Amino acid sequence: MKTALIIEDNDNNLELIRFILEKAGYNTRFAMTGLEGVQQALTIPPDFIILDIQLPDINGLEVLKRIRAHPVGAVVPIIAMTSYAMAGDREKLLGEGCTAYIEKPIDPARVVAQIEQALGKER
Amino acid sequence: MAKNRLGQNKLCLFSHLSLMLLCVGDVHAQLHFVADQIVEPVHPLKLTNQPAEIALLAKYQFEQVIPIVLGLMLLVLILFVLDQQLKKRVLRKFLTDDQTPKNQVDSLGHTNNLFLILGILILGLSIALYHFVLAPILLSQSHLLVKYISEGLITLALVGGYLFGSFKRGRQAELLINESQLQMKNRLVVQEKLIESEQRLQRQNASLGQVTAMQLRHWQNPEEIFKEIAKISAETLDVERVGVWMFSEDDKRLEGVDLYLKSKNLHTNAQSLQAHEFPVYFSHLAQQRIMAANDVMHHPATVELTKGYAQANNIGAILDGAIWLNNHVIGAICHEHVGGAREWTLDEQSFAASVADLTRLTIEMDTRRKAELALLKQNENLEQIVEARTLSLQESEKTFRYVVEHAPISILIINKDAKITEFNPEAEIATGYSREQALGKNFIELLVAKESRKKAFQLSLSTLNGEDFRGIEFYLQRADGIKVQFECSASLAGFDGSAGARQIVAIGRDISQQKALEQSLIIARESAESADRIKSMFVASMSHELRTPLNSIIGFLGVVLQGMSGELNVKQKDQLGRAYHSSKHLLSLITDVIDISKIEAGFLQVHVEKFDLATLLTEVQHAVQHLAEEKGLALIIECSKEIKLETDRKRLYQVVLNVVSNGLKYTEQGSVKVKASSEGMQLTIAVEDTGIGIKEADLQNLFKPFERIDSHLKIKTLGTGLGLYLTRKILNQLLGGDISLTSQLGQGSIFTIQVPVNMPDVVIKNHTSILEDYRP
Repeated sequence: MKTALIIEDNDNNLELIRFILEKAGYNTRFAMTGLEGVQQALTIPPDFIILDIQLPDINGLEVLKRIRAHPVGAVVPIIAMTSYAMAGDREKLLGEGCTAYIEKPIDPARVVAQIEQALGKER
Repeated sequence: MAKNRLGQNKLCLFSHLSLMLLCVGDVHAQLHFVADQIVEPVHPLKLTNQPAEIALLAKYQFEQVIPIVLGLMLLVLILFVLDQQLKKRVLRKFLTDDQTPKNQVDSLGHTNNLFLILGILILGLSIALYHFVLAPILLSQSHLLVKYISEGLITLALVGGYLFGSFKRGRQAELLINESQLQMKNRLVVQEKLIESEQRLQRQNASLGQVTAMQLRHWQNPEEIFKEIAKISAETLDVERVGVWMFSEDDKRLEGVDLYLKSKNLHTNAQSLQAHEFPVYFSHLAQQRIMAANDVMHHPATVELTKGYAQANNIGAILDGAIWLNNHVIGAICHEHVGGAREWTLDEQSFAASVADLTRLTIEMDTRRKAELALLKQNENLEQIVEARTLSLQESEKTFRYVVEHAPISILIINKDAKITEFNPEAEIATGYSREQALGKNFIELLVAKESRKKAFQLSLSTLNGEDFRGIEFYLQRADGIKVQFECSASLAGFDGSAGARQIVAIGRDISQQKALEQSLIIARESAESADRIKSMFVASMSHELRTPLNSIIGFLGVVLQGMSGELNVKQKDQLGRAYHSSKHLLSLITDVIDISKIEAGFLQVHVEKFDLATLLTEVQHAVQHLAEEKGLALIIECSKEIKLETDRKRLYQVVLNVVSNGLKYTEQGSVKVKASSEGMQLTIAVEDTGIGIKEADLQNLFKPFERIDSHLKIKTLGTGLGLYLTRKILNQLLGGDISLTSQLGQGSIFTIQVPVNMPDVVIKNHTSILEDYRP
């Protein structure tokens, strides 16, 4: 059973994605700030990370950079999930080593398929 | 001459007499010797050494020598006296003249002395030879006869020699005298000629003076002067005909101005000579100052004239003085001597030249006088014109004064030294200075505030050079020290060609209040604009805050609707479905508002990348395929060729997606066709639907925010009312493109998107805000 680390500050959205993933048969852990997320990702590496970009302390891009900078975090699939669509966000994230990019609002019927597609690509 | 010759004869006679005396003395001695010989015939050399005999011989010899010596002495005396006399005579002759060829006289004396010495020498030698050499020889042979004969011969030779010598001497003296007489005669002739020419010169000078005086007297009447000149020349040079000739303007003709005939004391009009008939004469005349033909028949210049003109008038010699003016011959004074040839003396030639020069003066004077007259006349005319003008000027001056004094604008006139020469009442009000205070002051120093002085100075300079300026703003310092902003225009006035008359007419008005208003308006606008930007930013960030909870609403609704949290009954499913769709609509509305706000706030940056249009269209097709299928519409994508683009992919995708989904929304049956083509650097995507179409009246409202066309589909179809507005905003403000629409109600619509293949470097951002565009 795979473990997902969900880095998300909004508890409702956290609950939503956690519910969907657990329903789909994943173990989940979570962090509600960027720094906490980085720490968790590097101490007990998850199988994959669901990363929100809009975070209260350091933003998702920074979290991504810090995880990827560490040898432990270099290979973990990270799926970015945000509605904050700045021009070039997608490219920036993918350029920093993000595995996949899912735009909010998520479609509960399709989101698991999207995640599994990203993980399959990673493998 | 006869007298001289007589003197010469006398001289000769004296010398002959002295010689005869000499001879007589000798003959006497000889005879005496012979007589003694007869008494006592002893030959001297045959004598023994008997003392008595020797003494006798010595006595003979002595008797013989004495007369000879006496004769010789007498001869020398006579010759000396004669010579002195001759010398005196010659000297006297020459001394009568002022110039005596003294050296010649001296040489004559020397010659005489030489002859004298030579003669004495020869005589002495002959006597010595005879007595001491020949006589003893002859005597020893006792040829007494031979002795006499030889003595006689010697005597003869002596006499002959003397005669010859004296003749020679006389002849020489005579020649010398003749020569000197001839010289004296020549000198007299020359002297006479000199006197003559001096008189002529005096006459000529007097004539020239006469001409000059006459010129001054008759300066207003050149014809009179010409006549006088002709007459005076004729009289001075004693010439029968004197003509004053002038070249015609084209130099082709020589026209007679006056011809004076001396013998008749008559002035006539001379005929005229054509240049082509006498080319050589004309060319001589045109090149020389003086042309003196001593003999018309033989002078190269006048040969041409011989047959016609000269022969007809019996002219033998011509003396022409050319009249030069400005390096050009304009005429000639012709002195024509009637009768045979005549040698023109140098002074005559010089006189002719002087007369020609004086004539030139007359012409110059006349030309100047005429010019002055014309000028005078012109001045008179001008005065009349000026008088008339002055009247009209006075009128316009009144008008000008009225305008200046009543114009509701400051009017200044500034002269070339930047001094104020006119200052109207309005200017008094505007600047606080009175007219009296302002006049004569430097306008920059008096009126212009420090910061505008340089500008004012430069502009006044360029205005003086004829450059007008309009609407230039200056700061002026009023009399009360308040700085006001003035708008001025200026131009050059009164420019009549003289630099001193240049003036600047400057008009201006106080625009301080206007400026203040403008400034407040600018501030107001800027604050409004910044407020607008703040609002847009606020909307953008608010929208994000709105989206976050909405995302979880939509997400959970989706989870529940999927049955992931347990089975739902039909009613629950329907109700939750409505909530789900409303949430989705709200989200898209918020998303559009975010985009619009970002564009307006300038937050939305373009992200240029290279891509192929076909893949973008395929993505659009995938995104809307389910919509088309739900309604049973055909979605046709036509992209004939590969079109490479370099622009913002995401925004172009957004635009095409918007337009295509819009078409699908408003089409109930039929198809939506997407046709892409490129021409040059322009990409055209036409989206053609077979939908409800749009009324012409609604066409212009279509791209306004929250504008949805009334139709039966309005309620049925979800739409934010912002889609086309956003589409156009993206095209205009981000991609540098545009969208247009043609439509027919009930038939369908064609939306045409036009975008540059390459994103332009600078897209002109049209900062209109949704608040301005939204006019309910």
